[in-house]
Amino acid sequence: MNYRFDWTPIWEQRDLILSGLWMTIAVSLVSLAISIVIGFVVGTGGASGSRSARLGAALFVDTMRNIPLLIHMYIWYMALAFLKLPAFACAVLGLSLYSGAYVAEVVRSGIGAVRRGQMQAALATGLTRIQAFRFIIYPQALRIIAPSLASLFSQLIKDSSLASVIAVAELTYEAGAIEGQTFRTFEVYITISVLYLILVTVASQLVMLVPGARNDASSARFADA
Amino acid sequence: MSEAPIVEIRDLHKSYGATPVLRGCTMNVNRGEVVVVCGPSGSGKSTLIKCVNGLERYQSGSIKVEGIEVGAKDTDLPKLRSRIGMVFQHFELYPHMSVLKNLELAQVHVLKRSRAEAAERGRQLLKRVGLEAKADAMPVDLSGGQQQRVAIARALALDPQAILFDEPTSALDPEMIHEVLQVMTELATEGMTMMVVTHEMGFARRVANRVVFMDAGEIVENAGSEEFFSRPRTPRATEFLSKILSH
Repeated sequence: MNYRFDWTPIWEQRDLILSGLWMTIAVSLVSLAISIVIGFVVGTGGASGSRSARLGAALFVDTMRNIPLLIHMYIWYMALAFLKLPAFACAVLGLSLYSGAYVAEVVRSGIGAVRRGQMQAALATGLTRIQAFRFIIYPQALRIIAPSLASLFSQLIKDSSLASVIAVAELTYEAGAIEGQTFRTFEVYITISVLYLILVTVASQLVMLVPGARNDASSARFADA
Repeated sequence: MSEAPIVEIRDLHKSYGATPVLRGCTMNVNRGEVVVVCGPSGSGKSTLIKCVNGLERYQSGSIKVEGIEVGAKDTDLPKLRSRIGMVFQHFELYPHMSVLKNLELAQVHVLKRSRAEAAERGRQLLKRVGLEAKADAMPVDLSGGQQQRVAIARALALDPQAILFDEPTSALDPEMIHEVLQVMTELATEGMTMMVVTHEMGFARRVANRVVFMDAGEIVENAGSEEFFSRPRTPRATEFLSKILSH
């Protein structure tokens, strides 16, 4: 093979790549925030003692998780066409529902891993159920699930590339555009691969900043405390 | 006693599905009284004590705490619970918080005390249970006996009207049981109202005013401690006592 790498066209299109990068970050961050909210609400419902809350949570998780993300993108884009929502909002909606379902399952298992007596002890001191979750249950669950959350969030960043199919001008979309103009297929996709790699690495390191999440020894001690 | 009882349980029934756990329990805990609830495992004593502060629901009958019906829909359970402390078999300290923070949390968020006030009261109580040096330790770094003393201090931090103890020494190594019982004995001497589920018959004999003996979800005997140990009235209590005292 005598393919000759030529990076000049990529450098010339750096503005497009940068704007794509920002869009990827924007889509990912907004979807991340919404999927955390969805995940905690649905995951808490799934861990609750109420049968109807558990059923509702399971229904949501199974529906959202079992539809391929690509189909999510198409569905929300088409379905919301009459609302004239920008493609950005449709992509965020699809990604948030899809990832939110996964976050919900992780949150549910995290809550389940906190000793049952912790909730009783918190309630017994007069805390409300919401206060008990906020001060006692979530902080403990978060430490347990931080590694799983980190991998979910990396997944979300990579999944955001599917927003390109509904013309959200993020990294993958811009890469396609640059490739169409310059035919430097390898160069452009190698470039964005490196950018994804950096984003994902930074994101998963950030999640591990949750107090206690990194230190395996201390979380093990903590688990049988 | 002229004063109304702090805890008033009337004909309490509870079942899990088709399995009855409590079958018509009636008893009182009066102010300043130490009542020990004992009985074989599975007799319903832990369930009964958890009904008192609404951690367990019941199907029929009534529990009044300071005159307020625990099971009523409009009862402010958090407020009621903040007036009744509880100590658990497995301590249940919050493992992600220091000892002092464990004592502060409900003071700040339930009683709305300032952080400084809560910390001050917390340190006072740690001193009282002999653990002032451990204020900044994490629960996991304490022995079981120390953890349970912290848990008692945490209950006391809310200045409760009574404290419920659910098998407070059952998860402890024998050499640590004594330090916990000693703290409980001091509390009793100071006049704290206590309802104690325990197998510690020595404690019951020395400290309790009354002993309630349960078997198969029923209260079989409810007698002064002296009377219960010297002249149990029912064969079931006699048998229980002979088993538990002879080993």
